[in-house]
Amino acid sequence: MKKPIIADSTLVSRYISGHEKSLEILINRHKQRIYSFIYSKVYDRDLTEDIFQDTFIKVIRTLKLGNYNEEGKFISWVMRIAHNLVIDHFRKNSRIPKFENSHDFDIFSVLKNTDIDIESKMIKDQILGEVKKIIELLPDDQKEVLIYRYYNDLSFKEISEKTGVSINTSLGRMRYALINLRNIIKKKNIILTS
Amino acid sequence: MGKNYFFQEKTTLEPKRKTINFILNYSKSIKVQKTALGKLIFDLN
Repeated sequence: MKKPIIADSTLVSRYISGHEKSLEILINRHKQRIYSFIYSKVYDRDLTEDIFQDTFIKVIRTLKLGNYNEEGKFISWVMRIAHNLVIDHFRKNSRIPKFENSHDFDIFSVLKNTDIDIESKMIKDQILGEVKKIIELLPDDQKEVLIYRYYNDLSFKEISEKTGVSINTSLGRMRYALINLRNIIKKKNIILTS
Repeated sequence: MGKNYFFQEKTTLEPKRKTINFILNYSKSIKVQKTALGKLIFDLN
């Protein structure tokens, strides 16, 4: 008797609740479509492997952090991530991607794709949110100078006027703030890359 | 019979097993911890 096909959404829910096997089923179900899509843009097997891998690392991180919004289809979401990474690759290498119309994407989706902007923004917001939480762990004097400098864009002269300490003290506090931030990130093994 | 130079072996476009294994191992190696900082990912490798 043929086994009933489990819906992607069910597999995603199971994976989120800790069933690792569900991820394997999802990958095996969609690997050809995603891989072919990436290859059709980059025409390089090794690069396709890398982008395929990075796509699923993003998928895993988003799912495990509970940031997946199940409004659309799982496959469309994964394809958008893959598409985004292809664009990133070409941007980094200053080359114009060769986009051809296909059943997955057409040129208009590249020219105007607000979904991708939203996804990038979501990841960026998530990272910035995590950074803010780490900043909260700093001593008050260091936190103050860091916020004035990076969030309020004040010069060290303005910071020293606002806080009533010398410019050198402000610079020193900033230095310690950055050292402490690095230490916290290292100690807690926090990943802040998108 | 001569060689058919027009024959092209059909290769399937799919990731190597190695790549899939890496992804699956990555998934198993990370843990999400709820901390005072919010949800954070810890890589156990």
